[in-house]
Amino acid sequence: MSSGTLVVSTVNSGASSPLVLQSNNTTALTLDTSQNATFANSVTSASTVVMSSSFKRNRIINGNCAVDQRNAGAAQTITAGAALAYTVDRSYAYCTGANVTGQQVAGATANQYRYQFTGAASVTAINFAQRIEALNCADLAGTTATFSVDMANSLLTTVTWTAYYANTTNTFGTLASPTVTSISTGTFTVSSTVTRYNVQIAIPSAATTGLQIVLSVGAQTSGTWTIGNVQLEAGSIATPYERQIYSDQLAQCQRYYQAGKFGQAGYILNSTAMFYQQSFAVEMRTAPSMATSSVSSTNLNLLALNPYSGQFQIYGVGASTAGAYYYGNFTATAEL
Amino acid sequence: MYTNAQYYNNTLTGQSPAGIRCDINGVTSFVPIDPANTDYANIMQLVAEGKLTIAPAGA
Repeated sequence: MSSGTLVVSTVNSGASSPLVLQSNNTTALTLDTSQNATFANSVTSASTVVMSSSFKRNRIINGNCAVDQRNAGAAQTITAGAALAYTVDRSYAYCTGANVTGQQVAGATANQYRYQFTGAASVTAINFAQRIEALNCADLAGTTATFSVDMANSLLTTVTWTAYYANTTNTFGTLASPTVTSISTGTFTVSSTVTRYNVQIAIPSAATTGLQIVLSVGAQTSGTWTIGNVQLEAGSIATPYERQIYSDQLAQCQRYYQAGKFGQAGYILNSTAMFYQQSFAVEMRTAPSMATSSVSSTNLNLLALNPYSGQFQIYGVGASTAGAYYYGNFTATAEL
Repeated sequence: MYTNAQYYNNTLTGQSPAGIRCDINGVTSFVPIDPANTDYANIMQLVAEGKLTIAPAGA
């Protein structure tokens, strides 16, 4: 048959063959044996395209390591046996045996940034992880999720991944006293060439309380371990890394950590109260812990700093009746 | 690592305690009294385990 219309109710490719539709003697649509569809060219719909997993599907924030508010691209020391240390935004690291160096590094053209550890003698383990707020992953409970990551290691060939959920909502405990339940674990066999890996994870129905994904290597006594484009998404298909507009990604990070400046100048009476309030750039996950640095003040005694999720307040008292000012830098942390 | 923990008051508002001033990895920090704040939760866990004491305000 060379032309005309074929009317059928079912077209079946058979037990182990894909179904292929061609136009102009060229493959246009392939349905593989798992019912995944691959179009050879663009897809146009006159109505809504319904997906089981929406855009904004990556539950990992800053998976491409582009936002680095704490270190601004500088190298940092991960201290062996110490508490977890935040690296590029939202991700943290810890190690044993000996200190290691970590740093945001340049990736290939399409992947501008990676995070890279440099091994050292006596290192016995390095871990790189992210905790996901329950609001951003509770819907994955009772489903299969797919974890994907770009990695390379110039010394080791095994990277272990482990998934956990928090025992109570958004509370993961400390390294010394974790309050999490293990979901599953496995390994990726890696090489010195950056390669994308993925694994399907069955998220238990109890895991509505927040997730923690940990990548680990053993004795990285030299060489480098490079990580990038980390993604956790609903479903069993590993889709390409979901790139985001930088400003959107920065705002997502600032829900958990932000740095900025504060300051005020005016005239104050001796022993009278001063109250100052400043909004955060982004509403934070909860009232953050705050630290200040490079604070300079004249004619003011600063008494208290009160953080809230949307703003912070500074209270002080005038030291004399005169002009007064203060200014400085702040950091606010509401990490999980 | 949490050290040198001490409650602080806000004498202007009367809020007592207003928070905990402590060193977190060597950096002086102000931690709100908020169970959802991870540092506060960690500090309270250490206190419960007898590994950290919080000095009273003004001590």
